[in-house]
Amino acid sequence: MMKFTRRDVMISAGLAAPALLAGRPARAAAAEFPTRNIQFVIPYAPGGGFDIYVRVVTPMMEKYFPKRVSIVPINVASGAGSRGVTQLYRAKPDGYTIGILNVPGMFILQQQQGSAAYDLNKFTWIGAIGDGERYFINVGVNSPVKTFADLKALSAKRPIKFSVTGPEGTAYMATKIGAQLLGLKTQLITGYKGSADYIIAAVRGDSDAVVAAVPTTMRFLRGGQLRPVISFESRSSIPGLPDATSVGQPELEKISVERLVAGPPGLPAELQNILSAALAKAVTDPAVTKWGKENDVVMKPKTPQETVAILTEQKAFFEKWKTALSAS
Amino acid sequence: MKHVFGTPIVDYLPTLGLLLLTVMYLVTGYGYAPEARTFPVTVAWVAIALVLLDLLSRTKTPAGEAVTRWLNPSTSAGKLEAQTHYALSKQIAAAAWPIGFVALIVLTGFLVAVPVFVMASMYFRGKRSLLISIPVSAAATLFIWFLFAQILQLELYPGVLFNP
Amino acid sequence: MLEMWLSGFQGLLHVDVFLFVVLGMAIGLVFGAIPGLGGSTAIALLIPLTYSMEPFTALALAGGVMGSVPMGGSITSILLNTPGTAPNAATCLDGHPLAQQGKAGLAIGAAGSANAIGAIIGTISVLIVLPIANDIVLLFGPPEFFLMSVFALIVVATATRGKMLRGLVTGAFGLMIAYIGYNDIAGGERFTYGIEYLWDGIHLVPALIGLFAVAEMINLTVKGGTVAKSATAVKITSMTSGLFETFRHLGTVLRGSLIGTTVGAIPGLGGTVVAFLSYSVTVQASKNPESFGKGNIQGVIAPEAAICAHDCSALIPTLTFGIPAGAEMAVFLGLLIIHGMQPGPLMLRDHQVEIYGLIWALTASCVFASFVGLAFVRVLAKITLIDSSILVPLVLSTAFAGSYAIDMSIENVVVTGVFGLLGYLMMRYDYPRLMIIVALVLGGNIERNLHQSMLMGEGGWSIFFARNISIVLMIAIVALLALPIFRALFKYWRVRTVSVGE
Repeated sequence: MMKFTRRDVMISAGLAAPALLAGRPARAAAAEFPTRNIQFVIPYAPGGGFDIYVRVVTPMMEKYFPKRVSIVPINVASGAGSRGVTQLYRAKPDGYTIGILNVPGMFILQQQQGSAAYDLNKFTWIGAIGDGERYFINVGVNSPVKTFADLKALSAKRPIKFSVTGPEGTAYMATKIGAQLLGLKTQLITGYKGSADYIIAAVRGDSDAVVAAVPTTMRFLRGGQLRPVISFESRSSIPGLPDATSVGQPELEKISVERLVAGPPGLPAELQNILSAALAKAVTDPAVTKWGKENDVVMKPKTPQETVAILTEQKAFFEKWKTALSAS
Repeated sequence: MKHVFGTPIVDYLPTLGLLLLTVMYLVTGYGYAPEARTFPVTVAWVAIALVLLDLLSRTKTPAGEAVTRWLNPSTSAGKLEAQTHYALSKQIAAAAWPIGFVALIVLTGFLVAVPVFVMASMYFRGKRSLLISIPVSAAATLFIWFLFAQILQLELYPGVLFNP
Repeated sequence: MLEMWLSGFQGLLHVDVFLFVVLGMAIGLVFGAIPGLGGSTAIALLIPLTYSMEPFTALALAGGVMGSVPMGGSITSILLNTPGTAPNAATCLDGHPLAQQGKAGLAIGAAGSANAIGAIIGTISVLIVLPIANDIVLLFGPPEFFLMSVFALIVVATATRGKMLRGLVTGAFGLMIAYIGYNDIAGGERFTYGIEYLWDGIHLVPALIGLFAVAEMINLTVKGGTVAKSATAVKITSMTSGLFETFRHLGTVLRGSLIGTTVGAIPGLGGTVVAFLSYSVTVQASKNPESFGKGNIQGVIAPEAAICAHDCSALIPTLTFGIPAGAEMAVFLGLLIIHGMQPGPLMLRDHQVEIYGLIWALTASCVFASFVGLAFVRVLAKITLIDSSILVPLVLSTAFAGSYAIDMSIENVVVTGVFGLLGYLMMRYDYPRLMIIVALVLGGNIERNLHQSMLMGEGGWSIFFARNISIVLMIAIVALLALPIFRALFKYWRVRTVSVGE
């Protein structure tokens, strides 16, 4: 699905022709990588969280390759992202197609769709953008609930209404698991279209509480609209709040959204290393770090091994909670 | 042309088609969990009622005429302007071309299908001269290639035949 | 605040910023015209180019794009019955018949001027509303969205008065199609029959392209000849006739702008519904509703004014809360965040100048685009004189390519083909197409908002009576349904008193 339409076919044909003709082995090809534009698959629509992170980081990545090329982000959002993931999975492992994957989002989606088109374990993992984002439980700033104790007390009287997206989203998972770990009785108002949407519901008073990731929570906190009541982090980044340690539920910290970067299965190790190094340098680039600070996004580089470890941990966590999630 | 209740069968066909689709939809709908099927099933039942009314309105029976008068006044025989009738074969042929184009795109991808289709439409069907057909086909392909593949950096679909 | 407003305007007066607005406008025109591409594609494409720009300049560019997209779309809608963007589908309904009568220039001119005026009215409203935007967005929740959707559906249905039964049938059909796909509420897929592509449901824009563009191309092939029936009418196209028509129907423009502005500020219905809503209301208010769909210029003015007003006021929920009122706004939001501007109350505090600059850029672009449209009116009208054997394959090629390009799914092309057939059948058998579109767009909204409403408050229907706006909307719906009954009764009573009086 590749060469036919790239103008760079000419360029790369010109560059690669001597190599091909001489029949040099793959190692030498890695020495010249990259020689043309790299495609970055984003299985989400433009403007969304994943899209933004990619578009902030990839221009920096371009600087850190041995040769300067463009990284072209393409959005393939069909099927709630599964189309993009499948496209990445089936791409040629020549290093010119990489993509970003939502973990555990992709696990959830795969379970919902019952699709066998891709195996998340077989991707060649390159690194990550942003650190795993943990969650807070928040209430609207006008809510009578002021602390976590209030929330628990309310839960004893009636189920707490949480507004969330649909069952295929990570917010849904975070809400259900978090509520169960914290012993809260809940009623989920599902179907909201995005995080801003369901958070406004809480601000408006339609729901009692919402679960939101750290950057989103900070944004609405600073805007004076939300009040966080408990953090799922082991150490709350907002002082004065209970967290996973203080309520004795360390597993809360395992609930997170990871943005992992990967290449198709079978990507040679040399190419994987080049890509991984460029990504790691991009993530720690001062411009990216500055943006991260302004938007409460922690940018930490991850080696492929660390990435695989994250994946394995997330998979185990998801497997453990899978049945609890599918029961309504 | 066989007539049923005073109207040629052909006039019933679209409504009958809709009825069939709606029934299929309804049957599938009942296979889902109650919460998931409430809306679709309700809408489908309403659709069936409406489609039956539509069928009735097409007949020339007194009841049918009443329905038409109340709900479809601009289509009653007295008010219909002369609708030009085109030969059925002509219409089917006209519809077949875009469908064939779609099939061609799926099989061979845009960069083959577009020039082939434009050439075929202009030269074979439209009986235009080669002098016009070839440049226009080439220009169309070039435009699509330039806009989508170059500027937008999209990969134009290469077709099933070229991409197992 | 006034100084900010003015400095926003002054910011545009720098040559480089101004050039970017014009560049954005040109890009928006082209992307708006090509079906399947639109503001969202254009802005997504431009994001990498903006990295080195100042936020103000980046916003000016984005505003330039967003302002001219509707005009670009209306040109192809009128000339070729091909909606460049989804909201422009409403313009096809009367715009293309006008083109067929050789009055394409008139239609384009009217569309352009309606656009411009709609944008100006929309902008002024935004500026007035922005300070209280917070409260407005918070007033409208699922119960209100549900009632608004139902209201819109009924309004559009009554606009098909002459063919109401058929309109209702297509509406029901549209609703049925709307429920294909993944069910956000309870999980699980519906009516996808195992096809992965249908997980997202029937994608709207490919369906629209099929229903309007492909269907019309089939029709044109059957009829043969050119789009315009009479070349003489085309040859006397004047630049200003469209402009005059718009001013003649200023009431329609105002009404459309009002609808666009109010609905845009509330992220509930979306641009496509707004356009059809404005169209339907105008049909209702007209003295001869049967003339619509056959080339009534008001049928072009109403939706176009609404679309531009809507695009302006759609900035309100996007900027104040980060709730994007549509795909274009979603990408725009991304642009904002990449440039370090977080939507929210802080944005209004810290980046007021940029916001005003953006709004000015959008309005300016809309007005410029109208001028461009007006300037090229005679050239564009000539397109209606191209023979169908050339025009049809070209339009079909672009339409299918555009449909594919939306998200690179070949299935989009199949959907466009299928809906093309469907659209043609609907044309031949005289079923109104506008109901199916509005139903398709609103079907999911209605179900979702009702479900959410039932879970809020005390549960069940109580929530509708607990909120002021809900009550107002319910009264409005009842009034709307009762209106035809009252009208009939009134007529009957009038007839009786007259005959008794004799």
